[in-house]
Amino acid sequence: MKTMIVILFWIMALLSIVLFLFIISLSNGDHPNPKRVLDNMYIEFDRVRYCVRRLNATHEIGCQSSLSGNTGIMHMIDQETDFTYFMNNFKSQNKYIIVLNAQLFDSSHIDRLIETNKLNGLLLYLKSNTTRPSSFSHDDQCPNNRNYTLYPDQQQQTCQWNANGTGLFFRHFSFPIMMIDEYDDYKRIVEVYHKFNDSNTQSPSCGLEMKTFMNAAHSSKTCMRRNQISHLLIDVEETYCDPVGGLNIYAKFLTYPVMKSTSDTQQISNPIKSRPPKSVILILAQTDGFQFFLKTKIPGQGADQPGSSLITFLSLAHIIGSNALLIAKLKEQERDILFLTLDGDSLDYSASYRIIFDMNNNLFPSTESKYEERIKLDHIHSIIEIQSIGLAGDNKLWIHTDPNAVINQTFINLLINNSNGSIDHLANVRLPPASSQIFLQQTNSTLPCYVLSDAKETYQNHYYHSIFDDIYNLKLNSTSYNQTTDFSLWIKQIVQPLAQSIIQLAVGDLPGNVSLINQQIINDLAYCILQNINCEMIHNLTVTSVGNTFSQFNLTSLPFSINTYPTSSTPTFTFIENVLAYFLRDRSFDRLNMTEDGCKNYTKDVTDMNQYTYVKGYRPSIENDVYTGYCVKSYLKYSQSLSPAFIIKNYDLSTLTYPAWTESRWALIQLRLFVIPTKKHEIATLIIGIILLCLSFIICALLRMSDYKRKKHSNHDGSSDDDENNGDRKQKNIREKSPLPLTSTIAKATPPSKPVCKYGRECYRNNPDHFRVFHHPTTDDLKSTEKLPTTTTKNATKNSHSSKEKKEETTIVKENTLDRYMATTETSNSFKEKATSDEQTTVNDDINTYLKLSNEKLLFALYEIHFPKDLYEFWKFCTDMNEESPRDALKSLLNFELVGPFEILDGYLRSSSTVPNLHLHYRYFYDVPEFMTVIKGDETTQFHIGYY
Amino acid sequence: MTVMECVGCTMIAFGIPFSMFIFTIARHPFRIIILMTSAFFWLLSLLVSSLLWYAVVPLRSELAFAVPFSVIFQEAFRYLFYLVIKRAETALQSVRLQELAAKGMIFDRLAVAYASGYGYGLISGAFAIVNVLSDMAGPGTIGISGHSQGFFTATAFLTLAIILLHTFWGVVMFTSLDKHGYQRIVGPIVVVIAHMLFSCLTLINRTKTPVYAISLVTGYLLLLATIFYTIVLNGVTLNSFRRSFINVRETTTPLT
Repeated sequence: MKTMIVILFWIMALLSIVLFLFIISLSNGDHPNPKRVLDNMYIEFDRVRYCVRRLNATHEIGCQSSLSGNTGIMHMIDQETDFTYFMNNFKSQNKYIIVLNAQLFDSSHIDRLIETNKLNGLLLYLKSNTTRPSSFSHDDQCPNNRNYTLYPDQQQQTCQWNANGTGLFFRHFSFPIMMIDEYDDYKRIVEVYHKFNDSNTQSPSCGLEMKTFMNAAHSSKTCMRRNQISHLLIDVEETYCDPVGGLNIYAKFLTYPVMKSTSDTQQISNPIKSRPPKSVILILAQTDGFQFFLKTKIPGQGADQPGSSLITFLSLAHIIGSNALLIAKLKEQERDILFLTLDGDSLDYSASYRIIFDMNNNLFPSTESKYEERIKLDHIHSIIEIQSIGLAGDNKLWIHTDPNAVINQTFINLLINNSNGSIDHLANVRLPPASSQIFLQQTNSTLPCYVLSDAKETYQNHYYHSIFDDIYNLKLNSTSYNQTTDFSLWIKQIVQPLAQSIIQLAVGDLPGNVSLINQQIINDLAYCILQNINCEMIHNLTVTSVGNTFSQFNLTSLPFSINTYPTSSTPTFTFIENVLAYFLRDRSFDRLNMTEDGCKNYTKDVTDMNQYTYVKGYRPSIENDVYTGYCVKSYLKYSQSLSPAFIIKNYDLSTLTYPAWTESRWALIQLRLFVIPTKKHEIATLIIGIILLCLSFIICALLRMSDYKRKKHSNHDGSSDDDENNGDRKQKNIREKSPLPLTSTIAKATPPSKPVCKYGRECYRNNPDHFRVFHHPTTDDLKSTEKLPTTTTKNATKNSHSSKEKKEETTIVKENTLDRYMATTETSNSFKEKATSDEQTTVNDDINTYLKLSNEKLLFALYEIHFPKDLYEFWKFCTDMNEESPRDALKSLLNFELVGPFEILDGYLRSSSTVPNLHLHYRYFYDVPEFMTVIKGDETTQFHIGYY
Repeated sequence: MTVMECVGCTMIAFGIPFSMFIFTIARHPFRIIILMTSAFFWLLSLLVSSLLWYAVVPLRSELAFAVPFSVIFQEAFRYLFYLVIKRAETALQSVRLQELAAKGMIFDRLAVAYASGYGYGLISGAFAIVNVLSDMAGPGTIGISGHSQGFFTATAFLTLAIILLHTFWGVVMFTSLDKHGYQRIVGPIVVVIAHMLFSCLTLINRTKTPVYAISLVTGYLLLLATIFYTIVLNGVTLNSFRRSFINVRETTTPLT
């Protein structure tokens, strides 16, 4: 039964837990008014921009908060005067989170704030959506000029490409820095700030909490090593940082037809037709940039750099790809024009290092096929790199060449002539930050490199590598699809002479005007890249049977930020791949009416290096618009652009041979505004709590102690008032809850019919059978019970009654005839002692009540057990044998004497005045407690027979 | 920083119940079982109330609708629990109690009533304040959108009141149901009315800056009244109240 209760209990507990969870899940459902207390305590800003940590071989840059977030009192600095006021007047030890006008975010201000030791975080704000700082660039003044550059001697002072750069991006901050660029958020912060912090200091002020904990620390080497440590307990490799790098995408015209052999390909000794040296013209553009502040789900901007260069790059690909004559000539002259985009060059040119590494190791193009010729550095004829061209002052673009490098002056002259003066050459100026620097460095300046940029000595772009490098920076307030703007006209003005010159450089003069581009193509590219990558053009290029990947990026510009391979899922690469493949496709396929399966069949040919993609959309080059689908045949490949540092086995990441940038991972970005409670309020709450707890404990303990004292006291009194009450209540309870109230009524009506329980009113037994058999006197029939012949046993605790009483009782007992008789049987040593000490018999005249009972009832009343029938039969047998003294019937024969219950049956009680304690009657010293002697043998041997 | 506030409020709400638990329940396994079971019944009542709330879609946002029904369900389940215990009691009596009694598993009606009331109060108090406490542990406090600063302290004190009230309501309900005559009817009605009164009083705290004093003072007056009624129900004199309190804690008289 007990185990059942325990099991029941556990089932209940289990059910409770299930129920609890169920209720919780129910309450988490969509209810109309999900107001938690938390919502009234914190205002959370989820559109905040944040700064993360990046690491290179030796250092860490960026910022981070502590694991639980940085908190501090909010203090707003709007102007220079506020700043000086804060510097001079805030001497307390409190930690602050400074809310700083973005205008003031520069090295000098930040340094001074850090020096105060009160800075626990920094939040920048913009006063409105339209106004922006006059300059906001956190790249170096001489970007990309640390270790990995063509000009290691170049100082920051002499190199001012990004004159407005603060260099803060490459600094390490031990506190989080965030930025709010939404006007609503700014308004809310200001509103709350004025409500709380402007009033007197007694009221609670408001604070900010910033959480930007970064997993990685110290350096790339450290965190890449930690990446590989698997946690034994959970057996999961945790990643702390990812190497910087995305995809290098490259495309060219169709490959040379490989000499196919009908015989076994194994026997062909050299299937690759050797490529003549200096036969590949490389056209470069970058696809990455960085910003100090990231924003979740919002792409990093980069409209001028690298956006404008990418538009030019793709337009160029279109012009060159659509020229059938050129393709024929290129085949004839065994030349190639390779379009290559690099991802990762904004941080120490890691993509360029990778491409050169691949070329040197016969890995470029990245293919397993032995039918494809590899391109090496020797094969490169010249490099034409397109840098930012969107902000040309005086509508002039500059060709930068390294003063010490080999150049082809005829190409430059071609370009200048073709452009009618909009492009000019800068011969004596060092190259601006460009991938060409690394190609020159790796080839000892033997490669002609031409960098096209809008910068003459400094960038026109005041927001170089920042969040403000967007369409507004390009003076395009808003463009719609297929809208001609000044910008797209400018691109056309540039790209046509550029294409013309490249064609001339590659294959010589071609008849007619070969480099015309439809203005609409540029308009569409500009709109797709700068405004909305989910545009019509891209729909027509990318919708496959799988679906369109760009619909999820509706109304976002093409993101240009630091990518990490392969974790970052930027649409940039898909975009470039599709557009480039389409622009450089095999035009002969346009006329073919092909099914998807027919398109896929081409890919089975292992000697064919081209890729075939079936696109659903309007077929190109067909007058009537048929929305069916077409097969794009083109040569396009890509390789990952991780720095060689992460590729070379056993490369020591702390060495500076190759750049080794990594970006830390992070879990949570959070900015919360809240009210800091006053110290007084906090302490008061705590103290009230402690007092209540202690007080209740003390009171409970005191009550318990007084209870003990009272009990002790009452016990000494002997009156045992409390106990009686207790017993009373218990008795009452038993009566009330007893399922057999009949018992008590019977007991009341005929008290003598049932034997009285020897514990009387103080009986503890709860067994209903017991109540049925024995009479328990209640307070009502107290008088009658007192008259009844009961042997009252007092509690052991109450045995310490006065010794006088005891002595009196003993004398009474000794006077008993029964006792006298027992004393004659000297063998029962124990009997004497026990009878005198333990039992108190009450002098009672009503012994006759027992005498009225018959033999069996008498024995039961006295012994409270039913003796077996054989006892009576044996007694009868003995009576038959010796009528005068049946107890001695066996004496002559066996020297046995019948004792115990037989004495009672012999009518021994008639000669007694009191009821003796029969349980100790003829108890031998070594008898077990329940043993009851009925036959006694020889005195010397102490042989006796009894019931047990 | 407001871990301090959180700890303070926890101690306000659960300090007194905790000491009650330590001194009167913790050492009696039987009472712990009763406590857990009654808490389970409270959860059941909450489930029924939430189902009702879930079913009646148009009135979901109306707290004034959900609260009275929740009170009714709670008291109904308290009565159900009484019936269950009564059944269990006869079952328990048929067991040899000597053995259980030796381990302190004495079936004392007052103790059962007390433990069941306490279990009700504890779980209801926990539900009332736990999510508030978890929100409190952060760096901030309430008031950014103009809410009264006293919210947390008031919540803690109201929770304390509801725990104690439930304890005494349990005693009142069970004791009255054990009695015969008019008290058998009056007791439960008093409990339901008092519970309804207290719950509806908390409804006035829904505004941004409520006067917590109203609900707090009324709540504690109600608590005093309930305590007084409990005393009257269990024996009129102060002395016997003291004894009853002690009996609650120490029902097992020493066994011989």
